[in-house]
Amino acid sequence: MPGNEVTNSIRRLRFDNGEMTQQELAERVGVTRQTIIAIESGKYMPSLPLAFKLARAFGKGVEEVFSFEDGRPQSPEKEAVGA
Amino acid sequence: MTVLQKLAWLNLVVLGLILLALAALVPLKGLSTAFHYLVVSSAVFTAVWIAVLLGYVIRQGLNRLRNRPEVLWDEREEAIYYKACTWAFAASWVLMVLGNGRFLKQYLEKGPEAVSVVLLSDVLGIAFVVLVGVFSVSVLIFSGKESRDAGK
Repeated sequence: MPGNEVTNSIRRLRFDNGEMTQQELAERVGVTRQTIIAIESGKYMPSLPLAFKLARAFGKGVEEVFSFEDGRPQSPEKEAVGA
Repeated sequence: MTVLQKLAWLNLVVLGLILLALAALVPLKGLSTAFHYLVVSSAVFTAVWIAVLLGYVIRQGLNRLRNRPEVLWDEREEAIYYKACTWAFAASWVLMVLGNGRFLKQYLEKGPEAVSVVLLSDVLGIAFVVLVGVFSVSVLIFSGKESRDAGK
């Protein structure tokens, strides 16, 4: 569906965390290096448990690692109240 | 390369060798007789898969002994495996249905004796080879090109 996109900042977070390698991250969260590569490049969407594990590996919340863009305002309720 | 990709390549190599062996049999036995041997491929693949499975069990055991656990299978591998299985079973199912059509034609034209065990094994042999072939190619397609990305 166009406009529905989950992006992530894993690559940047790895570098911010002492230039962690893909292999090190993969070992921390219990997946293969190929899976980390696929997630970073947006070719594979991880399951929720894996998303939480990835976020915890960086000491962050899930929404700090993954973001969802659907082309709509983030809080439609707030806009409706404001209108 | 992941375990699944390695298995897919191994399957394709074995499949290629089986087809080469069959092609070599054609001048000796004739096309239709050589074709009957295709069903033997299921035994060859079973032997190869058991060998691969044992190899990985031994490797995992050794890694544990050395205290170096290695992740060989994860949720993405599982997703690719199920997608490839879906394609493979769909393709082999089509062949099974076509084979049934052939059985029916034989039955209607020549009676029940014409629907032989040999004809049945031919259809099973083709369906099995297609199952393995489509599974392996699907694995390689779904695994994508991201493994080429060697960036850190």
